[in-house]
Amino acid sequence: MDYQPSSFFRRNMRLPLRMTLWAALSVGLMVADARFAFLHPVRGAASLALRPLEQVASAPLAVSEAVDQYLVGWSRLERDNRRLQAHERQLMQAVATQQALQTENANLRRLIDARARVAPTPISAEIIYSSQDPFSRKVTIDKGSRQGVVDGQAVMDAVGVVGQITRTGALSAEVTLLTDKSEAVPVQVVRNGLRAVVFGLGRDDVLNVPYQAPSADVNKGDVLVTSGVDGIYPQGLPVATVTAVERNPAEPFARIQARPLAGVQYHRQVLVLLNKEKPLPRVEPPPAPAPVRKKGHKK
Amino acid sequence: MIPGSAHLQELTRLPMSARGMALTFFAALFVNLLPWGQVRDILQPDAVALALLYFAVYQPARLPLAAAFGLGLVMDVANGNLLGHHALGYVAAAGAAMLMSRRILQFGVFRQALHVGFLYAVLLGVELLPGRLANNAPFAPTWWLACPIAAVLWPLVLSLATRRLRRGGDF
Repeated sequence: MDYQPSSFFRRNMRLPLRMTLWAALSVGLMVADARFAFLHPVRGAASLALRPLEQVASAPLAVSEAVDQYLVGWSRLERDNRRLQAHERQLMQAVATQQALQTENANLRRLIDARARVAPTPISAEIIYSSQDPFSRKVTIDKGSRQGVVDGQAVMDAVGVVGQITRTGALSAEVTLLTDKSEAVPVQVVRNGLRAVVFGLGRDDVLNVPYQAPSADVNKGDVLVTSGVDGIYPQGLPVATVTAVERNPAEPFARIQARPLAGVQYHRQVLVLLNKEKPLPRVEPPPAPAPVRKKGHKK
Repeated sequence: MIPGSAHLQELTRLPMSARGMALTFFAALFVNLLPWGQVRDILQPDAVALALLYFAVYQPARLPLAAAFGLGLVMDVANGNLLGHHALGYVAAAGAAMLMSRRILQFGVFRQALHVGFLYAVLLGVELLPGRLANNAPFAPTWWLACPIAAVLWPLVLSLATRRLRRGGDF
């Protein structure tokens, strides 16, 4: 038996020290990442290196979906086809009306000298990874700055807004979902144009609409669309429907909850709106008024 | 399927090469990156953390803490967390597992699993703080559920590890 107490104890004595060092390094990194931007290229390179692994890992799902699509029955295809044709007829009608309205709107805007609206170009992207972290609602998509994706662009599915690009790599980008705690979207009620802001709560399927007076004209079932006042989201994208309004006159604000229209956590295909429009210029706050002397208050 | 204590003793005596460890971690990373969807919100089967805990308990002298740190950074990049969030948790849990390694190895599979549940609680507890500070999100009630799940998965981890014995050594 070879018994070596010295090396064994030495190792164990040094372990807490090593742990402290690595932990301190982690904390330092977190602070650096939160406060300064110099780690962003490092993260970009790392996410690019991780990309092939993510792609391979999501392959089984893609294969099973492909097999699924191959095996659908004839009758279902026929039914789908008929349904889609009917749908297309409806859409064509709507498009025809919309084109006329668009021309009319452009003319009217020119008359009142308003900014011309630029329609964003959508590109389709696929979700390749959804975050494991219960504190944040984020997904990674397979389009990045090479395809023209820039921070701040809106991400939609077929029904409504899913979220916003918050970090861009060369070939992938991170989308913060509407339901993330740190996400806010300026909206309007379709029915009457009332402006509001929708906040994520960090929970699935629930959004918060704070800071509305108890008398505000918001009802259950109202549809909220983006108002475009932030210069980030294009105007008029469907965001959510109001699910509950609680008015208590004793409280300064009504309690309003909404549900996102888009299947925020269900789809794999999304659209990124490549907004070519330049963001609105930042409005400087007016200079603070000069302090009023007390003498002025004398009567 | 569940390995006996004689097998477990044998595992500690059979050191794993750095290459074998790296391959194991790579496989665990792959498992983590699979599209788990809604399942993960509840179950959170973090394969990388389990692999780290296994090596920290069974090969404490061979697992560098730098590996825990580096794997944490990779998970942070994949998840879009602050860099260092998972790294801190992994370093704390792997370090605690190394400190408790001798004690844990005395027990059979099921008591080991209880200890692993505790070590996983260390991991979650350490990860909880920066998560709360960085993004003031509501506390997910299913957060601690991952501890019993890690404990339940431990016999599976060990049975995977003892496969190596039957093949007689390293990869």
